[in-house]
Amino acid sequence: MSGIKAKIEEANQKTLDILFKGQPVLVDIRPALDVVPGMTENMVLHSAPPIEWERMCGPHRHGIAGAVVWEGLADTKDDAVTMIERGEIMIEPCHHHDTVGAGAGITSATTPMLVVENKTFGNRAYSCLSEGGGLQLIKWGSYDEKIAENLHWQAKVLRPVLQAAVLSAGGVDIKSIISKAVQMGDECHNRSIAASAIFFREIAPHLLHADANRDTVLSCTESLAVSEHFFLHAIMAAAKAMLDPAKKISYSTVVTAMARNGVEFGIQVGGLDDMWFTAPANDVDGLFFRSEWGPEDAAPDLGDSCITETVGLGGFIQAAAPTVQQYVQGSMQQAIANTNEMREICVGTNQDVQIPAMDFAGAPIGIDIRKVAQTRIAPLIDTAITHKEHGLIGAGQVRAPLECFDKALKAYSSRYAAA
Amino acid sequence: MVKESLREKIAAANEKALAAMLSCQPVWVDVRSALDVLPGMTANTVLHAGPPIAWEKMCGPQRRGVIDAVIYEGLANTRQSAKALVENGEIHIAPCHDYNAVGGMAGITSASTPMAVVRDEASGKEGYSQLFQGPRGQLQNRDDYNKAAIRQWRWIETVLGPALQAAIRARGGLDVRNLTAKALQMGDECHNRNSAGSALLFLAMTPSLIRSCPASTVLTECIEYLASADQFSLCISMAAAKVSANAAKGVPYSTIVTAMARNGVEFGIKVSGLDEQWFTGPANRIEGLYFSSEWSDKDSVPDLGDSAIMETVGLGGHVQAAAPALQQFVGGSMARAIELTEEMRQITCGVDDAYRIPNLDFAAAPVGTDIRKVVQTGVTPVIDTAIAHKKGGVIGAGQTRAPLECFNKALLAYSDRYRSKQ
Repeated sequence: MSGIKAKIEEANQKTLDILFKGQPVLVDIRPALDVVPGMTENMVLHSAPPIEWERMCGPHRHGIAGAVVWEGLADTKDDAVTMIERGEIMIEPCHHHDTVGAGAGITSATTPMLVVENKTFGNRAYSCLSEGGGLQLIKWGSYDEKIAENLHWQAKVLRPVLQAAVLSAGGVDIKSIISKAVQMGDECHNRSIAASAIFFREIAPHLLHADANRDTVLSCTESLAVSEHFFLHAIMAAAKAMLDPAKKISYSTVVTAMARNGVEFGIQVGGLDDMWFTAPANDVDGLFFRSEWGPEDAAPDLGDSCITETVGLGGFIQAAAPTVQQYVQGSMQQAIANTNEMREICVGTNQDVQIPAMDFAGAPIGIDIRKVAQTRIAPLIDTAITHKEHGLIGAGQVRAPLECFDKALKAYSSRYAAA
Repeated sequence: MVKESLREKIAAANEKALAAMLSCQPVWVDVRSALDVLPGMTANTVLHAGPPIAWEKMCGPQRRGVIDAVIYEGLANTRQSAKALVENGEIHIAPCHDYNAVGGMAGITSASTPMAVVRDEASGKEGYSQLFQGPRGQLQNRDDYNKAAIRQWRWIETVLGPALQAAIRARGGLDVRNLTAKALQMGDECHNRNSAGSALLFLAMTPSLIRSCPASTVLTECIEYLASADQFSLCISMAAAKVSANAAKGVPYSTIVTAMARNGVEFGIKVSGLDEQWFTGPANRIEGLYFSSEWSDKDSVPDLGDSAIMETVGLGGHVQAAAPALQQFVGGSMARAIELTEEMRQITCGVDDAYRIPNLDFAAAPVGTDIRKVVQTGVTPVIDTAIAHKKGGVIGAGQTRAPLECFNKALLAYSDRYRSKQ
């Protein structure tokens, strides 16, 4: 028994080292078809874990059908649904393609992707460009002409200009932006306004170098300057790029992915390959942006964005972002208590992410399925609230269901206890 | 009975003065040369930070800055002839504050200096601040530093100033109160830390610069400069604070402080009910961190600059709890920062509902320093500030206190003036 304990300690320490050594850098911006492994012209990705079309939540069904139309594979959403039901569209989770997608996570061949490389390990991860602000985006499963127009503009105009700027800058160091943003009130999930502003400051001089006329540069600059959540998607891709090298480490009990598809919550674990352990997704507790909306309108927990909590951001460092407490009628004291609670289920402390209001204590990082199962403390996730059909309707926080961790631990026992 | 009545008059006066300060709507509207825009400015005037001070008593950075400005303005060719002009009284030397202006650190402002113009939309009145931020490099060598500083000064006058003028006009102004409120949510206390304010200002100004800047090289230079100027928003915030503090001036019976400023020798305050009179005490040393181990108190001047206008309107040291990052300069802690903010509540007579501190569950900032409360409690305003080298340049940062003596003197003058009226 003590033998396995030592092996776990060693594996988890190795996992932490991998997380700490990771250097995620935004290196390029390319269409999904060009860069996302396994991407094809008739494929649409969604937020994980995997789920059949029939069981999908509204934002996934609407968003996937919208993407099929946007890609020109069908003329109408109805036609798109017919194609999907005939099996003519390949539907897979983002996570199975080294990708993470916020909200519904809708990603198709033409989607402009942030390419993030973990310089230490050489692996890459991807996430789509943020569509900017607004309650109706394909990210939230919505699709209409206005949304399509913006998507076209992003793919045709913004992507090449931003790509040129990123290349001119020689890449953008995401880890350092995260560190600075946490000093400026972001927890890097529900709030990424500082990270987006810092990114803008770094990239703006290079936008001027893009081979484009001034009106084009101006339109790109204006779009970025008002996009308060722009950098969240880069942070997500960075988190994914940091976590992927920590997969498939024998004996590791550290969680390497958490994701929600609006029906189920799923986790992956370092020592358990690419298996998903799932349980019903919880409802999000929070603030609805209009009085007409309430819990009965909401889809359960949705999106790959809790990859941020998987690297110890978001709900794990609520104390860094008191403004986010306003969604849940919380308090500074509650935020600090939540951060301390997350320490009980983590294996390490990340000194690259220091919480100012806690005298610069490092962030808890590396969720241990054993600790979750033992303490019955589930990871706390800051997140958006999506309408059960489509659209963004609120923001708040939610817990991962304990059942995922119990299932994972059981699988772990049957695999390693025998060994 | 008489005493009670005085107390009531003071309460009413302070309420009026504070309301005037808080109802100010400062908007950055323009950039213009000091000669064009400062009331009473002349070609041979050089302004400095802090209360008035005789040339002979000036600290190093101000003496050096005055001479530099005289040469820069073409009034003299050599340091020696510039000094002679000053000593012959041919250069008018006065505090920025006399011209509705404020200047960071030495505060040197001369005819051609480009000034940020911040207008109170409510009253139409204006406050001004120079845009200069010292160079970041060359600090190890005074001569190199000062040469780089003059180059930057020239560049700001001829390149950045005109570009920002066109951009801010094209934009139709920038609401500074809104910028400040947002920056407070992002870890700035808006005096020693302006990272968020400068980033937000950059976000707001970049599209306007692209729209209004004719030459690509100028555009690139300005964008690159502003992208790395972490303290830039302070100039704009200071001009806004100045126009706000001015709004509280001249209310009979009010005991609220309307200006705090330092010239490296003395710390001075003005009080609403006592018009334009300065009350001074020796400037304190700054407790803080030098940016290099080669520097210590022997290299630095005491408290310097008009930037304490930020504390005058309830920011900076008053809201330290909003910016825990600054505690690193003083070996402090979050608990200490909260304590200081709470301490400032003892000497202020109100709060600014627009300025909230996230780490204190969004409690409003303490504002309106009352000279009576300072004297009674012995608690003096805490000021977040930079540390200046004797020969120029910022070499550290930390915090200091206003000297109690200013407040004692002010209260004495207040008694003379108002008690006899009873």
